[in-house]
Amino acid sequence: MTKVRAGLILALLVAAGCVLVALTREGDQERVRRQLADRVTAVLENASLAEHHAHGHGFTEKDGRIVCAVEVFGTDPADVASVAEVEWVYAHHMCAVTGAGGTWARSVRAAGPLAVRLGHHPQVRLPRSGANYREEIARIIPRRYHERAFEGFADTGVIEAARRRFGDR
Amino acid sequence: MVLLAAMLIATCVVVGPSPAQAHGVTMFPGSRTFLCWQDGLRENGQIIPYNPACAAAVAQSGTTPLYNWFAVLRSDGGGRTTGFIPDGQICSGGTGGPYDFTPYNAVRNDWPLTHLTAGRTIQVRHSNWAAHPGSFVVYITKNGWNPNAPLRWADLESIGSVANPPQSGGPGELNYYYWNLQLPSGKTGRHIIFIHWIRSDSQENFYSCSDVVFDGGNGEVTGVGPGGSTPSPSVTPTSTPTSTPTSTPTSTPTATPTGAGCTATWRTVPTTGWPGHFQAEVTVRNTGAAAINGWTVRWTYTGGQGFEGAPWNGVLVGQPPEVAVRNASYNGQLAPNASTTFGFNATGTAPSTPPALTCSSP
Repeated sequence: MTKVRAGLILALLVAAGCVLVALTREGDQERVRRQLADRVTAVLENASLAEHHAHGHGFTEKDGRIVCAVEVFGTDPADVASVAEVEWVYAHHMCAVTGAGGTWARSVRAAGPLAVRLGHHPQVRLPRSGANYREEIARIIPRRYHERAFEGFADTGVIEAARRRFGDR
Repeated sequence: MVLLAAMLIATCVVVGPSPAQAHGVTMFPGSRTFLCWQDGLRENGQIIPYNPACAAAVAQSGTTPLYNWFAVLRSDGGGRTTGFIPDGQICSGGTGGPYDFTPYNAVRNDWPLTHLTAGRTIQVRHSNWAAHPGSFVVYITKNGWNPNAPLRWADLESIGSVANPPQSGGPGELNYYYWNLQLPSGKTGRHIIFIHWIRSDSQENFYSCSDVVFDGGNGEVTGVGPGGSTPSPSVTPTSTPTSTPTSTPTSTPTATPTGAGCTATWRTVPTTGWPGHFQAEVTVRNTGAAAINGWTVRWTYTGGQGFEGAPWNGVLVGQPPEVAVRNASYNGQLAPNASTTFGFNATGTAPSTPPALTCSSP
């Protein structure tokens, strides 16, 4: 084998290795984001009415059970390989209430970007009502995710899954 | 002392804004929040407005207020009007409610619209999402009001009130209070019907602005949904007017086509969440000295753009790249200096410089 050929093969292996590492990291990030979405969903669905009111959701007893679709689009720190490393989660949410007796679509009562601080006592941040909405989002979400925050759900499959859990036919 | 402490604690529990309970706004003639909710609500629950006024409102305060379309309220309303709700904020009930409805005060001529006939009796429907005893006071804008300026209390005149009307069904779904209302005669063109629901068992009030036009319509709704109109529940008057109006019948303006005298202005509407698409609106203005009866706007796309669905408030009569949009059946007549706006969803990238628009009449 010539030196050049060996060099080429080595370069290809290194490149393939880099791609593999990149793909693995991307796979990690996807997995972590899905796990985080599950965590945030649980926080939103299991919060007491008082907790919902404290962070700005206007749900009431009449509203029944709360079912949410959550799609994570960012974290702080940004680059993480496990849930344990995450302090803040940035996500889109869409929450419906079962007490209205209607279809999923007609039962949605809240949606938009939010920030959740994980931990023993999770903290949910929504844009404050009455304040400038767009400024509030810019305040809650780091700049690197602003464009994503103003877009809607990228994956409507997440919404479909919540809709099935809601019991929509 | 213990009792006092207990009482104070009990008071603290109820102090503060109560979580918004669904209550109600006008469903027919549809209020801005109800019709914008209908306009944008997709089958999977997302709100992605078609109507440009609704899109602007959602861009400004998000979708959550619109999901709570029935909660345009003030828990401290107490029946108050002037001096409490500022001019220009009548449609949102000011700014002290649980959701930010202030974008729904915007002065625009492209809100969803209900078409009515002056002098006819209609059945008003007001959501009873949560039922409460109280009165509904109905107002309409006076003749000669300025639709191009923020709505003021001085623009409104009361045309009646009703206490505790019957309900079509139980609260919590799309049921409603209903009552007959005879629309005043001598009304033409654009008006706002404003309904103030005043509870008799608490201080809580609700506020509904409905954009209407008196053009001989029978309750049709335009400016909602992908085609610009929605299959709204057909409205049949439940009773004929008990007396014929003594005023002269409304006359249709005689329109003299001038062949020229209109301009068209392009505006790309900032939209989010829809890759590969954009939204735009075109305002047509009659710049001539006489009324026009019909207009056509033309432009050329150079970037391969297309239409996603039909325009609203206009009819596509020339396909891209040589686009031509003609007036709809109800907005072709423009008095001197009057304007109308059509909008559309498009595929592709919004032109970085607006295309050159020509406007001709008819």
